Amino acid sequence: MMDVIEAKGLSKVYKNGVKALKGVSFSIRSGRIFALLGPNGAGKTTTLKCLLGTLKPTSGEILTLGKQPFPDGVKDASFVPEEKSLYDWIKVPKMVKIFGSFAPNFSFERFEKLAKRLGLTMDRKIGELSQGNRTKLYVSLAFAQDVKLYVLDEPTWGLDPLIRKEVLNLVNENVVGGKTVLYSSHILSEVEEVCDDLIILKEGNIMYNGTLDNLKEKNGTNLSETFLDMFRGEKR
Amino acid sequence: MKMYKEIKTIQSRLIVMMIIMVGAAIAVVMLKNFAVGLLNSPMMKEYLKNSPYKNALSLMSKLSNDFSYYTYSQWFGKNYIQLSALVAIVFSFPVFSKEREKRTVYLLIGRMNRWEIYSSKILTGYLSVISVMFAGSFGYLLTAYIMKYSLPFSMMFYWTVMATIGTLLLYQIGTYASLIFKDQIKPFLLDIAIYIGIYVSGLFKQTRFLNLFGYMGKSDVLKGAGIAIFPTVVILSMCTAIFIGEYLQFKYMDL
Repeated sequence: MMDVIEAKGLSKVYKNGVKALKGVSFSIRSGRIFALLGPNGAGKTTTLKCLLGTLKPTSGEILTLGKQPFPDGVKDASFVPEEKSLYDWIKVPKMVKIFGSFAPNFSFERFEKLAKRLGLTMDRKIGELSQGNRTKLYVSLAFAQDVKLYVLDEPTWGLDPLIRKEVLNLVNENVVGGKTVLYSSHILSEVEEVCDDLIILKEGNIMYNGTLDNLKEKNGTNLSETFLDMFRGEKR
Repeated sequence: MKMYKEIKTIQSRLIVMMIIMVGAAIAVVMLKNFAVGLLNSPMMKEYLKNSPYKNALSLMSKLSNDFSYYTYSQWFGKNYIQLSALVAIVFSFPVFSKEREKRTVYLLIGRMNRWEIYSSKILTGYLSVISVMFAGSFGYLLTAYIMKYSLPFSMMFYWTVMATIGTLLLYQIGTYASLIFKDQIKPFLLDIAIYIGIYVSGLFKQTRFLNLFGYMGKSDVLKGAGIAIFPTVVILSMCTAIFIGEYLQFKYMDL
């Protein structure tokens, strides 16, 4: 299996002096679900943005699908950001048409199937949608792109348990189809349900990098307990 | 070029600005007789007789009898220029700042490369500015012809071209302001400050060359002059320089 993402000594210092990442190195193999975990301010979103080319690393190297992502990004990746911001004054069908006009490998047919599956409310302006429906829309748009890498930051934010399960199924199905998923979430139970490999970040450093099975075996408990212990400092 | 998204985003502003510009142009032509009637009233004549401005009466007479002069003094040298500043500000201030403030930029980045994002935004704005400016001119000309006023096409064309080129520079400066701020208020305020600066520069002899509005509504055209070549080249060069510099800044900035 080839590496889809390779980061070596990745650091990011913001203009205000905040050191968000302090030389992290990791790789993500294709056809896997890779989770990125950590408390608030650990550097998860910074890592995702560096991998997608929206932020320029201060030092270190990154290759996403074999190319340096900064500044032009990676067209063979689809991103669901933490803030599910879309154009509020536009109705959902128009938003889909607009998205389809610039998103690579976008399929309207695939979008319709996904929207139906997730129960998306279509006939409304985006500004009138609930948080859950915004998430459904963003996830449907992202997965309607046929790309090699899906980067999902809190992809189940605001969803009820049934739809959350559907999104996790969607993630699993895509990986079975040969895609790679990079997944970041605060809901550890769902991460545990889907992920193969993970890194855990704290204050810009990697606390753990390996498979979920190894982590659980090493600690003899589930991911949530392991994570809490790690940050309480009771176990290492 | 992936301009569909930008056209849809700018569409309502374009329609509103088009209506304002064409509506104002039609109103200025249609109100000519009314304005001239007011100026020719005995009360106004009496007032102008005592005016400290020696040639006030002759100007009034010119305004009444010479439609080209009326056109310049009421439209191409005045309202058209003022509206063009509004056009530039309306199209430019949200270009980048809105996407960053609302965080919708993450929808675009990666799916389009930075050149595609930048060029589609700026060029859609250019096309919108040109459309509104030409709509204002042709709206004026068409109404004038319908009302049986005589206005040389070349005169209107020269004013339109110079005003449009000046507006493109204002637009380009506005988009740069939109790029450097993360919210929409600051670029809006900076644009207004720049316009005031340009206007004030025209009041002093030493800084008069900076008065872009003077170029946009050049009175020499009334005397048979054409497009002022040197300032046109300078302004287009400035537009190009800002376009390139702004792109390089956008290309290498954190989003």
